[in-house]
Amino acid sequence: MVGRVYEERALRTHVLVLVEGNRDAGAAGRVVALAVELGALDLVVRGRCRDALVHVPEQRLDLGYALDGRVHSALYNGHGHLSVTGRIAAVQTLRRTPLFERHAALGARLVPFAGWEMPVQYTSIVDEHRAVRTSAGVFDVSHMGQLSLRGRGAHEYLQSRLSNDLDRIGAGQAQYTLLTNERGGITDDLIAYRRGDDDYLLVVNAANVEPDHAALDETEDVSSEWALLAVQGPEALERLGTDIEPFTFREDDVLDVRCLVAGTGYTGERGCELGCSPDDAPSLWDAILERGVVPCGLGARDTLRLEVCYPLHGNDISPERTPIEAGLGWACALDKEFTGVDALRRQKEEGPDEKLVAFVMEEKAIPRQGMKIAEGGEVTSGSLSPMLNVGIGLGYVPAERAAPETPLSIDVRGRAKAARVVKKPIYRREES
Amino acid sequence: MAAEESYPADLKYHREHDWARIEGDTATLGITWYAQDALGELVHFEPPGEGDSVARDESYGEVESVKAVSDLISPLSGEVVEVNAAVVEEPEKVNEDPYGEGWLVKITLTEPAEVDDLLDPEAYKQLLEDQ
Repeated sequence: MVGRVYEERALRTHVLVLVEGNRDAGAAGRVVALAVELGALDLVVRGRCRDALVHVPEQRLDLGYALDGRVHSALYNGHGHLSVTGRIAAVQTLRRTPLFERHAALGARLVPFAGWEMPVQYTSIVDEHRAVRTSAGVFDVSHMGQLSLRGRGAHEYLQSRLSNDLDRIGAGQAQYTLLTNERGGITDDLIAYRRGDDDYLLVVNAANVEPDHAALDETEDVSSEWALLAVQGPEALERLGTDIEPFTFREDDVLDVRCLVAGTGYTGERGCELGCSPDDAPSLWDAILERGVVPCGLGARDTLRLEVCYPLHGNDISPERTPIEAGLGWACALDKEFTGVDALRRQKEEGPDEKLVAFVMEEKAIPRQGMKIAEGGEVTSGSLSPMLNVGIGLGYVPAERAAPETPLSIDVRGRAKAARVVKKPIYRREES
Repeated sequence: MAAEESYPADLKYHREHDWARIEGDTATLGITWYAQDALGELVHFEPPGEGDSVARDESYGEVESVKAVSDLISPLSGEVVEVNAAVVEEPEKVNEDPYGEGWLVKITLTEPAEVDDLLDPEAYKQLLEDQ
């Protein structure tokens, strides 16, 4: 059977091995396992292996951050020899959230993700996905990072470093915003929670806590003080016996646990995210499950966000891509000063060469990250849509190909498969 | 929904987790319980064309779950005479019934002697244990 290991697992930038060929899956799996065991932060391998011939059209190792080791492993030992070499971080053990025992007891499939051992699914990604679209699901997202900044000058400091306009929110409100570099590239996307005039909590991607903290050096990394549960779906708030408006938050008791209740999420559904003390997380989790909310893993979180076209940092956006290219100009206040704003103003004026588009497959096929688009550019995220039952994806294409209805051709392992650019989001609940 | 783990006695197995049901000079092919469990819920079956030749140990198609893609490795050489169109439409049939409704293709054998090289259920189960 297995001839390819596609994603084990590409959520965020942990490990992606993309190997094409016939006989190399076991070896590829061992490379991944070894890399993970040794603490690899990112690993991308591309090659083609056949019995008498080994092509390596592209072979890229991409291990970020501070690294001090090397891994070298043969992927293939037939008539040819394809090897993968990369640097790895010092040996590290995967971190576990306060809910790890709960996940294990539920029989979750656990995978390494951004340095954490996280549940990718409990029963089935498709079933968990549908639960969130039709009733309610709960995700352990305690791996996400929290940076805090309070005190005189906090507002001004963040206003000059984050892309969105913090003057547009007051205490108790939240905002989607970007941390950009000097070139306008996206260091991270995050939610800023304004607790007071000069009091902010930032919730950032797990894989980016270090670069974010480096760029926002006055903030304090308080990630270890927080557990975070996302309860999402049309019945989520009702099941919890609470209510919260989108992009607002407050401190409150939910199911007898003191929480920061926020009207935010990553699924496109109503619901909330509950921040609490790590000690309280297991009892909150239990109480939520008792209300009939379905435990959901990172697999469903990824397909849910893809259907509604929320970008995933490390896939669809990165330090090499700007908000203008990614269609996130709405989260950039170009009339204020912040890191990289000049580059963004220039690019907006001139127009970007490439744009991030959403597309659906016109043929039976599932697009995957890294596949080439014949018109130029490549797929940055792809999956089957559990709701639409067709292949869907996000990818960068030349700007002149970005209009809805533009036909695209995706190279699905050597077969050209027709796709069509669509308006975002790909999935929208039918108005009742 | 998912089937119970089993490796029927009347089938022959290939170490890449494929099975074959031999009936005279034809064979029905599919993937084992272990394979479907490792992949998760299948969402796509890319079949070969009817009339295509398949060679032992070579890929004859692909199956995909939400998160993984896998080549289908043929346990035997032959020519494709039928593709299970029901699985093309509903790939999850492979998870529900990997040895029954979840069969993938039927082939006529061009090298019937290859059958002797396949594993019986005991040998295949031993291979799984040794992994």
